[in-house]
Amino acid sequence: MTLVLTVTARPPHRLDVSALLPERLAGLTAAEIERLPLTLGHRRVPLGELFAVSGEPGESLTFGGACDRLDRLGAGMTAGRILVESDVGAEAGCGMAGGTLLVRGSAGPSAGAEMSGGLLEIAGDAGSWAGAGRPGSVHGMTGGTLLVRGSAGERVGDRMKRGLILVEGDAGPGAGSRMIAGTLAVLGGVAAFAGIGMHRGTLLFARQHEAPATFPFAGSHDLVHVRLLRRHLAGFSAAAAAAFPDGRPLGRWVGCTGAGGRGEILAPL
Amino acid sequence: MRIEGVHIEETFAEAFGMVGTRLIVTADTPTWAEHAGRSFTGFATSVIGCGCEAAIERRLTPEETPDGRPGVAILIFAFGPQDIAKQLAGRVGQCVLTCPTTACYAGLAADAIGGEKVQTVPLGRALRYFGDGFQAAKRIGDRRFWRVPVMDGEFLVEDTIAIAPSVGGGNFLIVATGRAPALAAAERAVAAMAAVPGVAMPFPGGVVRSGSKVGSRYKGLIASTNDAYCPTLRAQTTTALPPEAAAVMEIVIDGLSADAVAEATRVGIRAACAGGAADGVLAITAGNYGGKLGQFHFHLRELLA
Repeated sequence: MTLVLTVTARPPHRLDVSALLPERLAGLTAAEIERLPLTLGHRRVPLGELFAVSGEPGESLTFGGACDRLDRLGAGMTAGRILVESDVGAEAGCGMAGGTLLVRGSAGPSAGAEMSGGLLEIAGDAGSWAGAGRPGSVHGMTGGTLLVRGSAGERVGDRMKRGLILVEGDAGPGAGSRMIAGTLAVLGGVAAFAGIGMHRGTLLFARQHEAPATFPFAGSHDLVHVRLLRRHLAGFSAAAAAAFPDGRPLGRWVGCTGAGGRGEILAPL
Repeated sequence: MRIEGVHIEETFAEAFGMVGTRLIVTADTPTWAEHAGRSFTGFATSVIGCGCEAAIERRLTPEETPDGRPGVAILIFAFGPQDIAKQLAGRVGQCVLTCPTTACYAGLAADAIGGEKVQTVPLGRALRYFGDGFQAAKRIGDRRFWRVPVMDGEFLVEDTIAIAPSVGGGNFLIVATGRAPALAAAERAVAAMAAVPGVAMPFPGGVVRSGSKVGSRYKGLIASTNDAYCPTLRAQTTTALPPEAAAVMEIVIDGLSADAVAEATRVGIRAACAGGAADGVLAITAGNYGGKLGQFHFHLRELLA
């Protein structure tokens, strides 16, 4: 059963839609949903003024219309499935612990911030600080899978502590900066300062990469754990499976020595 | 009851609850996976003297392993979780970690075990310190592994392994007219049983020639030769052997479930009887303790009906 909320007119201010989760709307009638208060600017506005409600509340929730000003969509979700038919605003899926959030367009900044579980898939691009932390936090995502089919902006995976990020396109500057642990794989081009301040964890790049000066080269290796990563990635990305064929050695750079780190950058030579 | 002319005794094998699990060991080539498997399962014939019972369950093709390299599946059984944990740490540490190109994974999925709460014991978690601080954990999906740096690269080993309530001590005895026919029947049985998943025949070649009974005239010996089945003693003891019997071989079966042990018993007995009485196989029987010690009873005639 799917509930559909369609934006009737692009809101004049950013709108926090974190209350709109399948698990929160499940028991409600359409009339009750339309009466739910949302905060728009300095006003409390019933949901029915901003969204057209159709379908049946259940495990699935679809957002249609112009959603690019909808922030914190899917925040904290623990179960169920949310689909956004176009672009979404900031902090999509932040703190999510389970379930699936699928964005058919691009996402604004801080997508998947501090997520701890579940799957966040962005068909387009992700803005800056994807999979990173929220203001005031000491770490980024701690679990789950963030999948960006397009490109990621700067600082993707900053201070991530656990979990998996796959960027099929390019990654902006500072990818995996201050990484605590986990795995960040990028199939496209990777800009400068990737891994800066890294402690542990793995940056896995499909293209040749010039590591920062704080990452001494540790040789070329055929590592067994890359085979496992590849098989896991193959479950949702054929491009990732093709990018890391079994048995092909990868260069390994260990760092960031500026942070006393022993993380790794793995990339072809 | 007779199968191909071979008498099936109306009796049962008495087996015991144990804990068990499956390990998968992979390597760059089948040869090296075999070396690791044989080393791990060496000196693992009986929990009493060896601490565990273990055997290679089967060889695995690259398509069947977590990392796409050739491997072996190993089954290991012990009295309880602490015993199996100690044996796993010792054997993986000394026989798999040391073996060139290997990696070591849990081979038993928690959801294959069932029950309320599946128990896990440390595997790589116990061995990671060999990395002397250079080891690294890696989480992939919902599984966690340790990467221990070694001279040929890294030894990848799964963090923990789930253990299953298992069955140990399933058995049947092959009574024959001579050593050669007894052994031939036993070899046929073991070869057929190798195709049954979830079972191990931990003795050398899968066969025991020194079947035992509980107790001994000597203080301190908990088991001794099963004199009722020793062909040279028929004049000296109360024998269980028919006059034509000149040798007996026993096959001991451990399994991850009672069903697996039952299936292996069935398959093994049929294979042993395949040549029939003409091949010198006289009877099939089984060992038990009167039914009072073990919670699993495998009645031969019921299994073969």
